Amino acid sequence: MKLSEAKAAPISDDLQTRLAASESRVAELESRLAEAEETLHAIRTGQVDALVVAGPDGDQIFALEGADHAYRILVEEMQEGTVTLDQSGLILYANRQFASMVRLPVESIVGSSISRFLPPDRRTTFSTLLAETDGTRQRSELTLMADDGLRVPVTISLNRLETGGINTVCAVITDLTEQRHYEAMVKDGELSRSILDQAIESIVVIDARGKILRVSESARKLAGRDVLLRHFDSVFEFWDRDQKVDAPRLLSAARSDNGIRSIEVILHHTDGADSTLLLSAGPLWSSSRDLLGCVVTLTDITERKETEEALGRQAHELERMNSDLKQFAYAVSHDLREPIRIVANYSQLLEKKYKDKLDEHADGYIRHTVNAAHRLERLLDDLLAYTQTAETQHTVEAPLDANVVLAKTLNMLDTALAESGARIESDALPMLWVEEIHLQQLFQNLIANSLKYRSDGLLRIRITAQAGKDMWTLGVSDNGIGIDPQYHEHIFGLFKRLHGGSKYSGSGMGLAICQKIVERYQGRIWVESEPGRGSNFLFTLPKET
Amino acid sequence: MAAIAKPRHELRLYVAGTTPRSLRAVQNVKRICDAALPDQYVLEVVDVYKEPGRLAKDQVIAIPTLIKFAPGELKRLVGDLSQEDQVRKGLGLLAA
Repeated sequence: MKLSEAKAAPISDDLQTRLAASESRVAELESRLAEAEETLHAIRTGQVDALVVAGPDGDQIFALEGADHAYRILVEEMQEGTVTLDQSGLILYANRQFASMVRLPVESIVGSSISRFLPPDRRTTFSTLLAETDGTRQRSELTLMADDGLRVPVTISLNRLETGGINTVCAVITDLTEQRHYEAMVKDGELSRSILDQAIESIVVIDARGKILRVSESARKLAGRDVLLRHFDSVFEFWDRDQKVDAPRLLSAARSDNGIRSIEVILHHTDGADSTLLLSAGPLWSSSRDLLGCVVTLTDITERKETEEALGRQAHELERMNSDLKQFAYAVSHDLREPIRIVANYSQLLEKKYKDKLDEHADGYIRHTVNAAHRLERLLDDLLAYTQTAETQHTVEAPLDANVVLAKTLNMLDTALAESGARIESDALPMLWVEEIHLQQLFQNLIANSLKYRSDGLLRIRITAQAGKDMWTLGVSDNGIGIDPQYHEHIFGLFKRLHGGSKYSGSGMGLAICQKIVERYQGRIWVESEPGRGSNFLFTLPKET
Repeated sequence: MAAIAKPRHELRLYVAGTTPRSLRAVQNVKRICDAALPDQYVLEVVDVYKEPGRLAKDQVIAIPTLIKFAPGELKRLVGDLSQEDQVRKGLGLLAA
């Protein structure tokens, strides 16, 4: 209902007039309200370009979008952090970059104090710097502490600004993390280059995308050309059996901490040749544990590998031959024994039954047959002993008194010694880590030799012992016929006899067996002798196992 | 219990980059709240240049605007907040 229609009661003129005034006043307000609402609506819905605001110096025009809008975008998007601080260090404004430097949403930064992001020991210095900042630019280097504790090296440049009656300091903050990183790399560059160039191994440093950053001189030679800044996979082709060792594999191995340790790889050269290399790869971490790349180390083992293979083939061949030989010797000595024994027995029977019943020639033939059969029997026994010497491989458990073994040996040779009339002397002998049968064979063969190769006078045999650092040297010396130095090595060979069968009997295996025994204990045997001056056979045996 | 906690003030201040009024508004609201409501308020400062999308949600047409969401009914205060009595009244901080 309109006010003008309210005429239920008579109204005075005065009231009438005031009512009319009020009515027009309300109408005016209504219209102004409508206008204000329309204006607000126009502003809110973006129908205006600028606003006019009354100020002390007249109206000011505030553009809603314009030149300063572009600057604001620039400030928000730039790589430097910016903050506006008041006198006390309160952050009145911060851009997005600063927020990401300190790792916080920007809404919770504005309204905080800058000291929240400074190390405690730098807060006072910074306050002083803030207070002293005037219209000229001040620069300082410091460390920011991000909300999660990360330390960010920065340069901060401060500038005082006084606008709109508010006294502020603008700070532009540059993150130095990357720069520090590169400075460190440049500083290390010289040192690492000289290390790389002197390394015998080939070293290749690649970045996280597989690009070659550094190579040692020998790696450059391996590639056969300049490879800096090329992709690893376009330069090297390494194969681990049928698997390619490429940059992604190296990097993922490096990332998994263990890296790669000395795997054997084949490198195919462009000329068709292959190299065999040992490849290792380890990670290159940044201080913030980002994988910067990896270091690949290569050792060329082509030659070593070839030598190893040749040696392996030779060893295998030798082993095969040796085993054939052993089998042959065993078969000969073992399998021939029985028929030889039969020959010996029957020829002895012939001798017994028909001696003096046939003619003189027949007796001679039979005697030769019997002697030959006995010699052959002895030869086979020695050959069997020789082949079996190396076969017994069990370790010696306790040391042996060599004096006792010598006494036993002399007892065994009792008859022969008595016949020869030899005089035997011996040093006090040590305890030895050998098997009794072996030491006995040594004494027996060497003393038998002295008995065999004696000269006409009284035979003297002397057993000696001398302590060395790790070994004992034992000797059996005599005053017999002696040996010409040109045969000193020859005599240790199998079936070697310097004298014909008639005067000196023997199989020619005694010294070969001695040598084999001594070598089994890592010792050696040799002779010191001259013709007519006797012989001194010396051999060494270990003091301990 | 040591004391009954007063209702926490939830405030949001809309500013526009580094304009003097915006900077002053931040300074003023901090000063007033730190004095009257130490550790009893949450202030979020929204820069409309960084997040223009939030303007419509809170129906802001002028910058700076301080909005009090709690306690009590929602209240908007426009300007650089230099009239301390008015701000205190708007935030319900006048002594009873």
